Amino acid sequence: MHMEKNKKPIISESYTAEKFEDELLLYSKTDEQALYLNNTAQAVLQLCGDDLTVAQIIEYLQKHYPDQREEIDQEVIEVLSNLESNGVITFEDE
Amino acid sequence: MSNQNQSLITGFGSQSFEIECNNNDAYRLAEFLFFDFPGGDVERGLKHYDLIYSGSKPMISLWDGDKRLYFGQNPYHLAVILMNEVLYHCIDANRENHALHAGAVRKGDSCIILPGQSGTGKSTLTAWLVTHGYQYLTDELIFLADNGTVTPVTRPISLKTGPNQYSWMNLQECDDQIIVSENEMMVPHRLLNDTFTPQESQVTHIVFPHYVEGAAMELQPLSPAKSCFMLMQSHVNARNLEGLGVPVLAETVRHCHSYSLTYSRFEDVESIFCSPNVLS
Repeated sequence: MHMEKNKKPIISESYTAEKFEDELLLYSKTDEQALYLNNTAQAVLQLCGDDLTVAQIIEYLQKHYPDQREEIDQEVIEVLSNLESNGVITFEDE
Repeated sequence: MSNQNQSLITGFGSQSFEIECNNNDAYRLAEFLFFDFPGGDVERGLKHYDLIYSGSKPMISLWDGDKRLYFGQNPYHLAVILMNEVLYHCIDANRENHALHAGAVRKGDSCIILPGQSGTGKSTLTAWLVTHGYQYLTDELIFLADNGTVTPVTRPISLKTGPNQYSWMNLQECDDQIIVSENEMMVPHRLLNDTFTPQESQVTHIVFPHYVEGAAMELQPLSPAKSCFMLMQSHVNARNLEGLGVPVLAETVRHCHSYSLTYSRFEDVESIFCSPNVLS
């Protein structure tokens, strides 16, 4: 799966979050879409709100979870692709 | 009962229906379908249908004003059209309750809802539960209030194939009480369990059934977030409600036990629903 890592993910305002202890449900009032997010996806989504590029998000998570360094790159890209395809985020140039 | 025009009033919430029947046979069909419906507020909205039987080998027809919705000889086909009309308008007009595509049964203090789309086996599982000590509420639609209370839309149970497929129902001598088509039938729920007390119930369990031919049974507990996400797939009037109704669904699932159930044989299901403390 390819993704340009110098792009910044931007969170769409049409989604609302419903928090359940350590899980999150996102839903859009405009198109009645919903998305279930596990812990990893929540962490990535939170970083999307911090004005970071894809590369910076990966770097941040790799620093905090050094023993999962190898998996994090692919996992972040998968989560971002899923969020983008559901309209939760869009990408803009840095 | 005289053989003359009679009207049956039914509905739910803000939508009511007057079904005007031209003779006893027509009225019996309307009563068969709507006898246990919760009942609506006739002051807020009354929609009218005409149900007409005519001829010695009766041709039956269903009318919405000048618009003919059905004309033919099969009561089952007319019944499906009329039921779908009524359900559609009940759901479409409702801006207070959460309409969920779900079966529902009750036993003691437990109220189990079985949400799912057509083909997941919820009607068959509902029928089986009703023959095994659970009280029938509905096989198709519930209205959930903001406080988690369920008002079921109680109707005849709709099943996909003929009576021979369901030996556990013991319907051999009930042909005259069942409406059938080539591949489907409607069964009055009292034939399966005559204990029925219409009353609102508080949801205690949510079981998402998935009938998969030949599959091994699997009962998987669901987290509240996953349960809410799956429940949203069965929420049919979300657009009518504040925040798509999600805050209320979320609050409901937080107070329930939720499971995903994959099954193919009722012998397996029995160990879950007929043993104490399995669904806890």
